[in-house]
Amino acid sequence: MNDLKPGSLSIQKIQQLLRRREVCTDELRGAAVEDVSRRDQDVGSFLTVRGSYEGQSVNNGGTVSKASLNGVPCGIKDNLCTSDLPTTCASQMLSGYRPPYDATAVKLLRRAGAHVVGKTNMDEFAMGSSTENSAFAVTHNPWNSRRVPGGSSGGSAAAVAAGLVSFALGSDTGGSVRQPASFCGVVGMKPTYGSISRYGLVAFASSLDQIGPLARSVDDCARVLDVLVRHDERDSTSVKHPEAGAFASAVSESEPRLNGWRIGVPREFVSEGVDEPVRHVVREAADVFRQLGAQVQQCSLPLINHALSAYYIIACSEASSNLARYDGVRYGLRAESADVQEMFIRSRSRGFGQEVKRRIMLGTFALSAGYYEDYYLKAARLRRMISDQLNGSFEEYDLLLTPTTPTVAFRLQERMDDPLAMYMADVCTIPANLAGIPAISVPGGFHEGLPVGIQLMADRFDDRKLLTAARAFELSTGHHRRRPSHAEEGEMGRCGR
Amino acid sequence: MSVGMDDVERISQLAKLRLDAEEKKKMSQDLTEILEYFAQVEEVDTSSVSPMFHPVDTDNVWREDAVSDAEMTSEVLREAPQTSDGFFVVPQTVTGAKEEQDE
Amino acid sequence: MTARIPEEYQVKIGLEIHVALATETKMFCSCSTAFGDPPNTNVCPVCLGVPGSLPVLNRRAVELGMICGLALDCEVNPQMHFERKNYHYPDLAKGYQISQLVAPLAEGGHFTFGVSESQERTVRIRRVHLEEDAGKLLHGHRQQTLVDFNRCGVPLAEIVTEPDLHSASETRAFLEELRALLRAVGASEVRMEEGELRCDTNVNVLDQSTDGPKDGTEITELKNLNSFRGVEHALLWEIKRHVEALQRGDTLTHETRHWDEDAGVTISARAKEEAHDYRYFPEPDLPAVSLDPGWVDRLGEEMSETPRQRRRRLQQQYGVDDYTAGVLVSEDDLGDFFEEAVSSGGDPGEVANWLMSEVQGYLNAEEIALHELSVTPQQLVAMLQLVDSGKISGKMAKELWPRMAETGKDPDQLAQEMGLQQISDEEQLQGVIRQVLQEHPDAVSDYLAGKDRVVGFLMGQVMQKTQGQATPQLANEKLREALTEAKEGKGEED
Repeated sequence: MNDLKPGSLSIQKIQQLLRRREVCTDELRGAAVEDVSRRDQDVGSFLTVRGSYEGQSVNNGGTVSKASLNGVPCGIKDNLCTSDLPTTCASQMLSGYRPPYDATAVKLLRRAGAHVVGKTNMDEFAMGSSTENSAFAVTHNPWNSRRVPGGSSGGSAAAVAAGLVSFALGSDTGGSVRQPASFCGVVGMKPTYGSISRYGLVAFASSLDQIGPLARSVDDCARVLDVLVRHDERDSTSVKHPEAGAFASAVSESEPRLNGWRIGVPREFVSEGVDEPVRHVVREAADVFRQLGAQVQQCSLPLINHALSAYYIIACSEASSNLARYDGVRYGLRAESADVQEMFIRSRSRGFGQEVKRRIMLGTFALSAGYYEDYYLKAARLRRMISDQLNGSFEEYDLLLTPTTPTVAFRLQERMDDPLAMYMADVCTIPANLAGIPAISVPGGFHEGLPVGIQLMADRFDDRKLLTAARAFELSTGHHRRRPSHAEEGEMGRCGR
Repeated sequence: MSVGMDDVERISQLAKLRLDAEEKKKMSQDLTEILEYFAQVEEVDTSSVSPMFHPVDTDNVWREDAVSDAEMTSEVLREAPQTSDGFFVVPQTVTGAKEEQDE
Repeated sequence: MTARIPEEYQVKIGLEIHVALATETKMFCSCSTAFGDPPNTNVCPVCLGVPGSLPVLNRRAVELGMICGLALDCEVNPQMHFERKNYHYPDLAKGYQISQLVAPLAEGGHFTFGVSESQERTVRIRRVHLEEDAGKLLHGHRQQTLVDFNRCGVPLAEIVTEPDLHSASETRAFLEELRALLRAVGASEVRMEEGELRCDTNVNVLDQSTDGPKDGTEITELKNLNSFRGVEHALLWEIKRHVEALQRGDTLTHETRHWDEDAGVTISARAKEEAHDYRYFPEPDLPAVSLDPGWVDRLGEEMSETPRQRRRRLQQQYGVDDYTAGVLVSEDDLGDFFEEAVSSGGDPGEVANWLMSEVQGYLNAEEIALHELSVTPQQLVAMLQLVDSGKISGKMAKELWPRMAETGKDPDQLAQEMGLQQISDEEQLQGVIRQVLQEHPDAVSDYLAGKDRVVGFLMGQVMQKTQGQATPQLANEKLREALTEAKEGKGEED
């Protein structure tokens, strides 16, 4: 099988090939690495690719054959610790840094037999919405190489969209899994806060961060969640999810119906701030859900308009503290000086990029004496109000339907000089992080050849509901089957022009 | 809320960052713009609301007091910019006074 | 150095005391808290602040913190949470310390301690909160600093008092009794030499003679004192500085100073170019903790007697005086030894005397602790009974004791081995006395001539002949009988 591209296959397909003994896992591994090495030059989704599949930590003996992700190639966002591959957070600060341990999520994937092909590009320390804040590489949108893949998990989204891996892990603090999934036409899910252990995820904003899978179908997403959703004693915010292990079974029906489901469309998410083509896709999606048997109604969540404000204050405040540890003492970049405090300043000034500095500054300001009450605490109170309003809506609705992003993927460089415009890219995804509720982005349609995602949100721990509805949607529309034209050919159509 | 050059200077010292003149100017503009956007939340009365610090309430989470002896000195020292005989090595404290070490 | 303090001046001292809790592992990870291990051997991703690592709270640390709070009569808060205190220092692994600000473990207590014999004072306790220790910095060569993170993350209880102390000696007495308290209830071993108790003191002096708002000096913070002597001396120096300032009309400035042990002075910490701004905010990695009232009550019930309670009880139960009771509770094991000895038949007064004189003398000379001795309380009682029954003398006991302490042998056996036996047998003594009188006819003649003082000489001869083993009282009695007989015999002859 010379043209074997394991990364373009679904998990189910790979399991089938293995079961029929048409391939063995070694072949899969070798082919996956080779395919990435060959085709990723044009996408730029990986920061590190394992040069050879040998030496990969393979699970021992018998359990491997039964393991649910056996031989499945995956990409890991470069802010998840891997003991055998550098973990840089796409920052000069951690250039070449090799962690002393595997993140819990990575450990669970490996135990399930997954093949970690490499580490994917991202915005530095997950701060950004286009992956342009990476200190090391530019990632192109596989649908149009002059467009951004979104961010901050842009490398993971692009790798999945380009068929380089079957799935990838990202982290979602304000939409960093869902927004790039939308831009790249793949499925991206942020489960309920606490579902997937954050142990080994390099923290951006601890109370908002959540690891999530990106895949080409809801089915694949659910299979990955079955491996990852587990209580972890190393993460004090980890929860015992009542539906752990039952996600794939939620999407197993071949012709699911949503009879009796109530879906709300908050008008604040489809206001003028959202491009008309995107709103059009959401209207079409509403019709699809109606055809599936659900009642779809407009509703209102007026406080949502303040979500972005609350989010940036909270996220930056936590980030300013989380990133204080990069001081050149124990790991990472050190810029020499004869004085230790001066060494701190030089190391941090050299190691962090502009956006990271901007957010550290904003967060430091919001926590500083005289401003704490008016900024950080006010934002935390707003968070409660927004969260309560969102939760309240689930008394009436099973799900909320919104766009994932206000626009399709924008052009590279377009928003780099306007931080606020960049922050607006997350306006639809942020509320779910504030409230800790699950949310998923699925391909909802296309505009001028670029994918448009729709987002579904559900109540805390209703992750299964979310998957069921998203699966019903993708099966009835088939949008998820459409792939960028060059993804299979291994060439980037418009690259370099 | 306007974030002036003095504020930028004060915050950058707390954050252990050094910005050149141009960066300071840009930072002052960016932060001002972001905080002006934030100003729209003033219309929301949050006074009677308890702040939310954790999105999901978890019960008391703790571990028992038992030593796990996973020795990893060499692994953690491996990534350090400078070490000596098992110690991390840093330059002396010259400017910052000892008072900062305030347990 | 002690300055005369005008009566109208009032010294106000408040303390922030950091105590290392007696846990096996660190506050937020499973690394050992062992002292003195090679550098950076008790470390892991969590306490080193390695990217991606997360804290998990040590239940025992919370429990010991509650015991601290209960021992100090504080209210344990039903809910507590942790905050991050943000600052940069090379011994601080994460760029912040996990501590408590808004909702500490316990608040609003008080502690009563003895300032002198029969005089007690009460200090209000503002709060007890939990936090993690920092690492340790050592000076290397070539302007380098070496960092060891073994201590980083060790659980501490910070005890904050109201400014209710009024002198250096009172502060020292407070700290000494606090140490005994924390040891007694098992919250901390308080090993001073391992830095398990460190103290920041705030001091200022008020002039109460003025009407209206009181004049006074601004508060000075003395940081990181780690010995009681250091606290006392630093405070003496600092109070003098404040009094002198006030006398010349200066109110000083609020500042942090350090105690230079060698020079015996406090030195201003160099003013930093940036102000402190710790940017406290709730630790997002740790959920709030509910301290169930049932749990708090159970800990309260199970808690050992405090030294103050024990001191009271020892006085009432055994009739020892306040001073003795104070000494007995100053160290746990001394009190335990005492009570065990008394319960196995020892006289409380005698046992206490022995413990405070000979036993402590021995321990001090040998620089060992009571629990390192192999002597049991029962053996001490057996020895005291040998004295009471006249089998050995008090002096012999003092000779016997160090050997008992060394060997752990029973006093009976040891006394025999050492030949320490009093001769209490009358006939045996009479024989010796007869011999002495025969050997010293001149002395007998002198006695008969009315020179009473030769009795002393003859007594000395008796003791010498018995190698000091004669029971002095009995020997004296028998000697006088023999001499009286000799006198009468002479009269008859006349």
